[in-house]
Amino acid sequence: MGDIVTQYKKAGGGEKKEHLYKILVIGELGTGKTSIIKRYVHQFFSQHYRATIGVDFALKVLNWDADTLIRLQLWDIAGQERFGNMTRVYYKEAVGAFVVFDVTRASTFEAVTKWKSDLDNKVQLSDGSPVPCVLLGNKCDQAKEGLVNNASQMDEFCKEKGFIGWYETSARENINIDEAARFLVTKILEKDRANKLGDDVRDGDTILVDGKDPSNGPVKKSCC
Amino acid sequence: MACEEFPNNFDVVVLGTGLTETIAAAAFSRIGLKVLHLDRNDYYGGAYSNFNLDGIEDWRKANETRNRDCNEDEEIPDKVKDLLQNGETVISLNRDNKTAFNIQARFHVRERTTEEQAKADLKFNTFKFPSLNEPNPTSDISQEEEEKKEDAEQSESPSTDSGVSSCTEKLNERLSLTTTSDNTAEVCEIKDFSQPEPPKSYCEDSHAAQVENPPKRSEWTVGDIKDDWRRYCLDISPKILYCCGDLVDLLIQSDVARYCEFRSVSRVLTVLNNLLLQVPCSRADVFSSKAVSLIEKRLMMKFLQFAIDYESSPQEYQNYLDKPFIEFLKSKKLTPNIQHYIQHAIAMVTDSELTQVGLTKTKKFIQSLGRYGNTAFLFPLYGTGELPQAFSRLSAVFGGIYCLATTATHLIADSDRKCCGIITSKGQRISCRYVIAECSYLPPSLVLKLNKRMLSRAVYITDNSLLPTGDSELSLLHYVSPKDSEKPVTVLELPSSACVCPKNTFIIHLTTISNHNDPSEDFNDVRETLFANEVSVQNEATVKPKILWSIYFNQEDNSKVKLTEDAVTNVLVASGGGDPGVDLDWCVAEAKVIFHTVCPTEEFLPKPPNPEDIILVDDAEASTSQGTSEYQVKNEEEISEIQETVSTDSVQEAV
Repeated sequence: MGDIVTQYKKAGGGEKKEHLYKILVIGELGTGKTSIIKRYVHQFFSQHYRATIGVDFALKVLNWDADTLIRLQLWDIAGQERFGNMTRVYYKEAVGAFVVFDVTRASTFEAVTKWKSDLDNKVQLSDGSPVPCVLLGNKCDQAKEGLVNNASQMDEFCKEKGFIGWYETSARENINIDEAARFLVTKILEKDRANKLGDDVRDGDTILVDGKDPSNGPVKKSCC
Repeated sequence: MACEEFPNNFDVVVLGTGLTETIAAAAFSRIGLKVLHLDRNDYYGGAYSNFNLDGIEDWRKANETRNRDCNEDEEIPDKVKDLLQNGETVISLNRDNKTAFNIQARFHVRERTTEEQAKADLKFNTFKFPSLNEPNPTSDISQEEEEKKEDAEQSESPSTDSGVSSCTEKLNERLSLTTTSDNTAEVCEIKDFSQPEPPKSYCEDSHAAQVENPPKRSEWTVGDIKDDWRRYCLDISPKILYCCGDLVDLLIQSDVARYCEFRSVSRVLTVLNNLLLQVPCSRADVFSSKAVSLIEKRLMMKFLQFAIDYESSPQEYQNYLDKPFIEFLKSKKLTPNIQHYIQHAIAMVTDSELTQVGLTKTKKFIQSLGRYGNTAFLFPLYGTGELPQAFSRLSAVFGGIYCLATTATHLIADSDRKCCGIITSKGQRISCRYVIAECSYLPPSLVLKLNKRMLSRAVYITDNSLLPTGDSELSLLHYVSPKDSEKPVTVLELPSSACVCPKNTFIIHLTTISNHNDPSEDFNDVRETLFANEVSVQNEATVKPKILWSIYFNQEDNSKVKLTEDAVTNVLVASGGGDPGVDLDWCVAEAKVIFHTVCPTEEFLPKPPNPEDIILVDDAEASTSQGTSEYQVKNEEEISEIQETVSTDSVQEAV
């Protein structure tokens, strides 16, 4: 998956480029990952999210600029998240990530490092560098606890742990979510333009097994 | 991350994340049953797992200290007894189980010299992790400054360029290859659509990047291999999929295919008269092959046409049903070459296997040709170990709870000898209706292993292909040793395009039924025939691949198991892998039986909706709508467990 660029003619005759990016949203249980996704993608906030059943990702389409359309797949983590045991299937081909913690619970911040190293272990860009990752301190409309009160220490933390930046967000009050996403997408586009997203070992012969059976029925004989 | 307790009630507890168990777990979750899925290991896949170079070393070490089975007579600890109710008893389970034996791993190349190491360190730091060495202007963004930052970043010059990929390659990757001989129009159409001319700057970049591709090494060192340790995906049970097999059909039907990509196993090789050559399988191959004469072409085509529909002409083979396939082939007056191709490369049967087996396998092979290109088999990118993970993801997406490095220490049986729960290794009692356990989790008193044999496996990292052509080919070879034709060696060669190794290396898997106490001895013959001899490297280096690193081990054949007569009810056993076959279709059948034992009338892994088609409903609307969709959780208790926020304020809706 990673980045797929397709181009099509615009009405005016110019070319419009379309990118598809897979972005992961990870972090401890109850930090508001699903709330952030729903706020960003569907523009609403609810106190009562159920664990996401039957859905792999939410899709956000961005008209980035006159020449660029971006489709963001935001991958929420499913039932397995609760114990931190992600499959490689979930991580693979991601080009960006948000690690979310809850500013009202210092314990969720302590787990941030673990999530980041799990991420870096399981997925890298084609040049071996880590995927761009933004740290989100969610629920910033409520009383904060711990390191997040000290901006310069947070900057230092991000630098040390390899986050490209951090934001205080609130899914409830809709604070900084669009900004954080815009920042991440900007970094992904930079990487993309420097050709760092693809996986170098592959070439043109990957096969996607899908229902659209190319031979019109499995029993078709090709040798006869 | 893992300090939380599990909920106390599930419909099904599954022990082990091998392929059968994960397919079954996905099927249960898919119809709304509550599934808890545990694995004693800290990785997915059990016997179907795969590892990078560091991981396989950890696996080797872990297996050295493992025990074979638990002590069933051990005293039940008081804290377990305290969790039991009246009339309940417990059965101790294996917490730790050894299924791989005699593991030997080593490098066959020299260490780096100090100078080489210093040079490599420098290169590694500059090229591999440019972002770590960059002054990092983005790490201290306060929100007011953000605008400025973005400007600054844009003017930043691109960092040291080591990206070897290009967008054009990326585009090509997405082609769902549909090359069948009679479908060329469709192929063209797809290509036109997904291969637009890349913008100029991209082309230039990709050109520059390609120049930097690693040069082919004349000599390897341990460090050269270790530097890329993450890029290796070494399967401990390497398997391939028949294009028309049950597993491919299930991947499509369940939509688990969206989590995987595949490569076709583009070559079937054979050793004939001491020569390694490619077997012509499809109609096109047969006709273009120079290895078969015109008469042979007609004979082979005729036989393959018969085999694809052999049931409709029973008179052709009924006299041979209780005789070996080889005798039937001889009766068809095929030439020795054609007989060899059909027996060893297409049907892959030994001299003693019966006609019925040979015909069934030949038919399956020929049916599988042409569905995804000119080949009968697919291999999952990143290895066979991806498949259990893909089914696990589906189960998790439908609410299955996964926890690794955790197992059940005891089964709880009620007074009727019916299983009603487990005690976890964290000391929690969990009630459930059914337990599905991979056989190595159950003690010997509960499970019978019907195949009392071991497999020998070898995995090599090599510097070249067995039969280099310049193209990136995945190859299957059914190697028959002249010394023991009943124990053929299955050889699977994977290039870097299968995403299992870095460029300019190959992974070669060898599997056979164990004959010796030392697994490496089982491969002496094939190693001498196909690989460069370590001592006389000079003479043969150009012809045969050099083994750079190897691992050998024995694996218990746990593919046929059943419960003993006095086992408790409501426990179902799943096989634990280790069969010598090339494919995994039997795991689908096994998972289906397990599923239908628990849910006789439910549909097995129906297609889920496309994520892009699902409209998320707000809770306020959901609670008023009458016809609850299957994606809404019906159980109140469950809802409260999984709420992400605790507050009970009324729902807000913005914009």
